[in-house]
Parts: sequence; structure tokens; C-alpha cells
Amino acid sequence: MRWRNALVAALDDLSLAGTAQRGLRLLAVLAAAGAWLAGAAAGAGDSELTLAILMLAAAWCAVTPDSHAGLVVPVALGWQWLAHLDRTTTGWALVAALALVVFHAAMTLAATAPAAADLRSDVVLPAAGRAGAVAVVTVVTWVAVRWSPATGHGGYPALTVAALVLLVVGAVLATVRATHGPPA
Amino acid sequence: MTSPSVAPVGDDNRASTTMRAVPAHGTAAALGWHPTPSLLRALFGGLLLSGLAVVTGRPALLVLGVPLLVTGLWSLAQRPSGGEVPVHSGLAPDVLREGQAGRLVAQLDLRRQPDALWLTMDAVENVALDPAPGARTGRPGPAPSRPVLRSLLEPPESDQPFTAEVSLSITPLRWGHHVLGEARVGVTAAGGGFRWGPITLPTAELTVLPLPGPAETSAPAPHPVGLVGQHRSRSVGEGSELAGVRPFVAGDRLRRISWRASLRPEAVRRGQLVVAATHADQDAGVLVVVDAVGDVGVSEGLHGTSSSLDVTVRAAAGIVEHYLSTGDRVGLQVLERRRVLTLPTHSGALHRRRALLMLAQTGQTSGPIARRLTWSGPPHLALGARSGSLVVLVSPLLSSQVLTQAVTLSRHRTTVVVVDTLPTDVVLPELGHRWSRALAWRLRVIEHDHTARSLALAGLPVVAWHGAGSLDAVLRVASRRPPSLTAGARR
Repeated sequence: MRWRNALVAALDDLSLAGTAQRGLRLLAVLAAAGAWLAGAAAGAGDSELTLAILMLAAAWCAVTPDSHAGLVVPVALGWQWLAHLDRTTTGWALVAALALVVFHAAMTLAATAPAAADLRSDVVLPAAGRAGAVAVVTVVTWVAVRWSPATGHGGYPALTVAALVLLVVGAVLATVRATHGPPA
Repeated sequence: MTSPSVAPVGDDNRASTTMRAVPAHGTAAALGWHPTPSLLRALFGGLLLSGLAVVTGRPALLVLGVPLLVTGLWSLAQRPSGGEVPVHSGLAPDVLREGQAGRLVAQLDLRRQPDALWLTMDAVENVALDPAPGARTGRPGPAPSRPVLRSLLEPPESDQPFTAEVSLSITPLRWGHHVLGEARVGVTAAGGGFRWGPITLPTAELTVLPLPGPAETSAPAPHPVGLVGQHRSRSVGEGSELAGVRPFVAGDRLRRISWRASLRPEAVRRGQLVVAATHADQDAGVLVVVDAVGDVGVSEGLHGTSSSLDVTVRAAAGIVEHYLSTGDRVGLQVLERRRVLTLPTHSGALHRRRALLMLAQTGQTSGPIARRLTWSGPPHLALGARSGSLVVLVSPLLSSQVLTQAVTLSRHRTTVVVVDTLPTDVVLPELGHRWSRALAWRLRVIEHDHTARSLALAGLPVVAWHGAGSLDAVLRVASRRPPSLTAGARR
């Protein structure tokens, strides 16, 4: 019954939510649906089970944005693109990725403060700017992937190198502050 | 060493606040910065999709995974340093009047501008919160002065510490001692990737003074006896109001000589100096007695219907304020079912505050002020006023015990005035059937009317409370009577 109590408490919180909070949660659900529709437009229209799982997770996230249920959404989208589509990279991949960015940004912003708290512009605008920067990176990635030459074995050397470079840069950024931190 | 700057979120009215350091509350995980589900979603989701893209050779998965991975790494690179965030919280001020707005303030010492700092409070009865759901969020702190990439690579000790402040507006709607709802404060940083708290702030207690009802009266207090004050005495003495002129006698002050009257022909003929005689200015000893033995009706706060105790307390506050503002000495007794709160007769602004604080403790069993000011005892009138003083009994006329003692009191050369504070429109509690509630209320009204008639027959003037001027008629009548002709003395 723990999940039931948690759901009731979450619904109580949702009833206190202001306009901004409700809008963000609605945006997250719409973004998740949009990401699936982009996959369907690319040729994965027969993935109804994925859609059901995706929408269930998105609805749960809308009620409890500060939960791990949001992880189901990228996993389900990944499954849709992995199991139902071939190796081509269409423009719909960019649409799905941008929808995923919107979903993640909306969920993150909704979880920034309790549902009852008013989200002021000085909180929303930096988050929107951040999401915009990530969207630019997404477009750059899509452009790089779309026009990178594939090898004869179906591999993408540029893709592998880009992923490795990204991981290395991320690891450096993540550790540099730790190594400069104050002594214990 | 420079003191850190304070960056506020919320209301700007800065009342002086006594801030208390907040001890560590909550789970161990809540006491430091910890990653949020958002960060985990970004990192795990991004790594999974990017990894699958590389392993299976599906570039579309990389397009899906990279934004998540970038977001996660961005948050990770900006993660806040240090675990402890010192918190101070307090009410500003901790004593308010009904309808007056105060603030619950939380101050946190941070090193880097957070994404959001928020404060929530659970709603409690008779306290209005602004914003209404009892939650406020904001993004305090100095704007980042460095480029984003540079700030990512620089060590955390280069960040300037500052004090972030968040506040909620609190408006009490009913007098008394209020224990406010549970308040929590938390901070989110690094693009929503890390969170500190929430921690529970210490329970705040608020003392709310009653809003005095308008009680101005143009009638003088009957039989003033003191030496200072604004009431004109019947006897001649030191004062400001002219009573007449008389011949100069030894001991008169020279400045009292009326040169104009002394130069009149008859005064010159007699060879006498004439002085101006004045009425003595005297103060009155007023004892305000509050009958708080019972309470009828539901109190809906300042803007709703009032219970009988609400009307009684606000009327008493108004009467106390009025007499203290005219320089009189005022004593106060609050008669409850099992105790008597007593404030000795005194005057001045400090005494006014003490009286209002005592009225705020009416019917309250907790609170530091109640403990300081009260003593326990049976509910009876202990006459602290001198003989000849004015006793104003503020009562809904429902307790025969208190009223019997008022009659007894009136037989000791004391002018007693009874102010009837039973409201005409009350909201009855939802108990029993509707018809039974109506019947109970009807019985109450009959009992009240009977008591009022009995008091009038005993010679005690009873006036219904309707704000300013309520006491005018009875005080004028009482002033015309000699002090010896009180109700009891005439019998």
C-alpha cells in the first residue's frame, strides 16, 4: 500500500500546484507523446506497447516529477528506435531528441521546488536557457551524425570518436572540481 | 574580512528579525548535497542510449542520448561544494496584531548561486499565508560574473560566499498564541542536478494581540481620584481648566496671580491680589474585567463571524487602549473557568502592551507570556482598584458566577458598568441536529436576557457593545451620581 499512499500524497500535492507547475507537467506528457509520434513517423508506428509504457511513465512523472520513473521514458524511446527502426538517421530522430530534451527540462524544472511553490521567471528563464543550449548541442550532433560517412561494415567511426570524446570531456569536467576542492 | 551580502527572495518589508541557528533535522541524506532523480535520469539514460548507439551502430540513438548526457555532465561539473549549509530562521516580528503581516525568514549561507531556494509551510487555522499555498521559491544571489565555461573549470573556493534569504508572509487572523505549521527549506543547484535538504525548521510560535475595537467615549470617567490625568475633578486644585478667581492667600504660586483681575477697581479698592483657581486634573483608576469563562459560536477570524470570546477580548482591548491613551491607570483581570489572569493597575505605553499580551493569552494554556503573567486560582474578582474606581465588566452575560461577584463588587463604593458582548450573529458548531442547535441557541439567548434584566434590577448598568460610544450614556449617568450612591450603597 506504500505506492498507493505515495500516489494519494502526490495527487494532493498536484491539487496545490500553480499554473506554471501544471503547465510544466502537461508539457512533459505532450513531449513524451511527441517523441513517440516522431518515432512513429520515422516508421515505428507499430510499437503500441512502447507507447503504452511511455505514456504510463509520463503520466506518473507528471504526478511525481521528482521520481525515478522518468528514466523509463528515454529507455522506452531507445527501445522504439532500436527495435522498430533500421539504421538510417532521419530528421525525425532530431524531432524525437528535441522532444526528449523538452521532457527532461520540464521534469527537472517541475522537481526544482515543491508543487505548491510559485515558479518565478528568475527560476524558469535560466532553466529555459540551459535547455536551449542543450537543444543546440542536439542539433549539432544530429548534423554530425547525419552527414558523417559510414564505413563499409555499417559502422560510423565519427560516431564512435564523438561519443568517446564526449565521455572524456565529461569525465574531465566532472573530476576537475573534485581535485581542486578544499582539503578535508 | 567582509561580511557576506544578503540576497533576498520574497517580501521586502524588513522587520527586525531574531534569527536562530537551525539544528540539523531530517535524514542523513537530506543534510548534504545529493543528486536528484533528474541527474540520474540524464546520466543513466544518456549513457545507456549513447552506449547502445556505439555498440549497435545506431546513430539515431546517439542523437537521443547526447542531449541527456550533456545535461548530466553539465550538472555534474557544476555540482556544489561542501556538505553543510548553515541555516538561520526566525519570525519577524514574533508578536503581531490581528491582520498585521509578519514574515517567516530563512537565511542560508551559500557559495554559488542556486537554481532555486524554496520555503514551504503547512497551513494552520487562522493564519493566512502569502503566497496562499504556503510556498515560495526564488533564485537569490549575485549574478555569475564569469563565463560559463570558465566557471565550470574553476575550483569552488573561488566562489564568493553570500547569504541567501527566502521568506513567507504570515498574517494572523485571530488573536491568541499560535503554533505555526511545519516549515521546510531546500535548495536546488547545478541545473536541477543536486539538492540540499529539505530540512524542517524549528516550530515557530506567534503571539497575536487582539485588534482593539473602537472604544472612544466622550463621557468622563466617574469620580476620578488620582493626581494626574485628563479628567476634571469636582474639587479645585492644580490643573488647567479655569474654575474661577479668588483672593490671593499665602502659599499660592505667583504665576497664578491674575493681573488683569487684580487691576479691577474693586480689587484695587480692597488692596487684594486675585489668583485664578483651576479644577484639579485627575486620573481615574479603571479595572477592566474580562469574563472568559465560556465561549459561544465559532470564530472565523478577523474577516469572518466572531465568537462571543472574540467580541469580548476585542472590546476589552479597545476599552483598555482608550483609558490608557487618556492617561488613566488601568488594571486588567481575565476570569477563566479555572484560573484568573491579573495585571495590576498601571499606566503608560508599556502597560498597554502588557495588557494586550495578557488578553492574547485568554483561553490559552501555552506560551511563555501566559506563564509569566498568570497565577492559578478560583475564578473570582480580586478587586485591585481603589474604592471609587470604575470597573468595566466585559461579558457575554452567560456566567452567573462572575455576574454575582460583579453585583457584590458594586456594593463596595465602586462604579460597575457591564458591557454585554454576546454577538447577535453567531455561527454555531456543527454538533447534533440543526433544530437542536437552534433550540440550544434560543435557550442561551433567553438565559442571557434574563441575566441582563437581573443585573439591571440590581442597579448595574448594562450596555450592549457596539464599538465607539458604547459607554457614553452609562458613564454620564454614573458621573452625575455621588460616589456614595453606588448600586449597593443605595440599597
